[in-house]
Amino acid sequence: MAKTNIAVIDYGAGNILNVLKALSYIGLDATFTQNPDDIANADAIILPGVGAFAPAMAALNQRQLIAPIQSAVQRQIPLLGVCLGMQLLFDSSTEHGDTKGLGLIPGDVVPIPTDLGVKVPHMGWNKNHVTQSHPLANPIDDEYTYFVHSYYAKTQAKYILSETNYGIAIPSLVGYQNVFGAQFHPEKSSTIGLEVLRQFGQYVNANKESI
Amino acid sequence: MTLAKRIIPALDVKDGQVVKGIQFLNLTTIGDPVEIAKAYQDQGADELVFLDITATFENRNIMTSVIQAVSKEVFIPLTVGGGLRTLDDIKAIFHAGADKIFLNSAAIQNPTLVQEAAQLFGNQAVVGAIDARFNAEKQFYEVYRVGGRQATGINALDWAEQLVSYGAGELLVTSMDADGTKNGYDITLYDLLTQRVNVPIIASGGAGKTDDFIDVFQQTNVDGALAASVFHYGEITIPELKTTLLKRRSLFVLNNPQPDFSKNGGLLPTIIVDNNTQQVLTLAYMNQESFEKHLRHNKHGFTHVLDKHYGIKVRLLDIHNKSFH
Repeated sequence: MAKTNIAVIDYGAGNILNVLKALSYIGLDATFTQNPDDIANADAIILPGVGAFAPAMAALNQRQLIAPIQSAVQRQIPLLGVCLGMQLLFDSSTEHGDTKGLGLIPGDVVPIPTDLGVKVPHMGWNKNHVTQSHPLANPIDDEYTYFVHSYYAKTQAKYILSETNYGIAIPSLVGYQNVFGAQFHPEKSSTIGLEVLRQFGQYVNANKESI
Repeated sequence: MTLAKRIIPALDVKDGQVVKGIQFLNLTTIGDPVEIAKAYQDQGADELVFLDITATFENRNIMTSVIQAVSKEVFIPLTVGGGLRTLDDIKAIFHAGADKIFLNSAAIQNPTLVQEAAQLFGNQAVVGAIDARFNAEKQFYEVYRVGGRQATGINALDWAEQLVSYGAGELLVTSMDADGTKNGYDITLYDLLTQRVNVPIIASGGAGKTDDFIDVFQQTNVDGALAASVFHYGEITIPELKTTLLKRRSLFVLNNPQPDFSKNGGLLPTIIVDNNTQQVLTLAYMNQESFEKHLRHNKHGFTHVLDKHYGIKVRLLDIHNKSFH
């Protein structure tokens, strides 16, 4: 079997090299790239991200990466968004005015309400509850993972694989066909987080053989 | 609904090696930051704090190689500080793989650095570090600088507020009175701090036994507790500490996040205790709304109102004398 090639999208967002380090640690080959051709040829795509929604979409747009990502998803290439990268998968966000997202999973990104008395950003280790059994979600059931975010995805239950409770239920893993998103940082969630990435790798391999 | 309280081992790094002997980890290379960090990750540490205590200017950049190496094999949040003076220092350490940086004396000398770092990397990535000692004469907690050697005359609570206004998304506060004593964390300091600012506070200094962690988590609203020697020398192991915390943490917050308000007409019997004298003040009944306001430190909650308007700090116990905090 040929090596699996994962394109980790470089769109100039904060400190995202740690995703690459985690993939490399578990033996997954990944390329950090902003080249549309790499995305077109990838077996899987990871969209990392730390920062704000609008500048991230602007950066993807400026690098002409939106169409290649959407086209890869249509060709059944698995996509995993992490943190802000997960939020970009949805239709829109209200962060700094209304901004259109990638529109790959129905839903909108809205602020975590502050009138609940919880501190925002939601930063630290929080417990997950799997709402739909899935190989990517099962490792985190009843386990703590590491979150850092001020906005969350408001979406229908059918797209939610797991939730975490922070005054309100926040989707921690979402999935729609071959598109997945983790609100937490798998690359910062110790062995549990690495297991999620490993499961994504297995999903990618299985998917590659079936295409 | 509450986040896990973070348990944070701190590593002092000098010229690329962890100093203060680490005796219990069964390491092949004593002092190797990667091996030590990995061992702590395997034990279940929630985050690691690295303090660069390298004295010579030439060896400063060793810290970036240390973080580079650690971040290739350790996958929990890494917070790094000590010796960061310029925005370029900060950029280099983030690029190496740090998730958060902390600024102590440099923030006092140059508050703009906090603002610039927060703008570039986000508030969540910038931690304000404070060394504080109680000044009995002036009756306030005073900020110290240069590794705790120089008094500044600044009130630590005011400085905490200022650091947050500059963009620090979290505060790491060391009580110099408690540090090294192993007599427990400075509860008063953290109680005051958590009422003053609304960002996560990490308590540091004084941990000697498991109960010290329980006390600081039950009696104050800190988000994490940092310790060095008790972990390094294996006096407390993180798995044991976490198991004990799980067992001892409030009945309701952890094991039963939603107490049953369907019974007793929606009222929860509560013993109110004066936090200073430990005297029972009264037996009261909380409804769900007041219970949640108490848990969330809502300023309209009656515990907050008691404190603010009557200066009475109270603790709430359930009928089994367990703290609700």
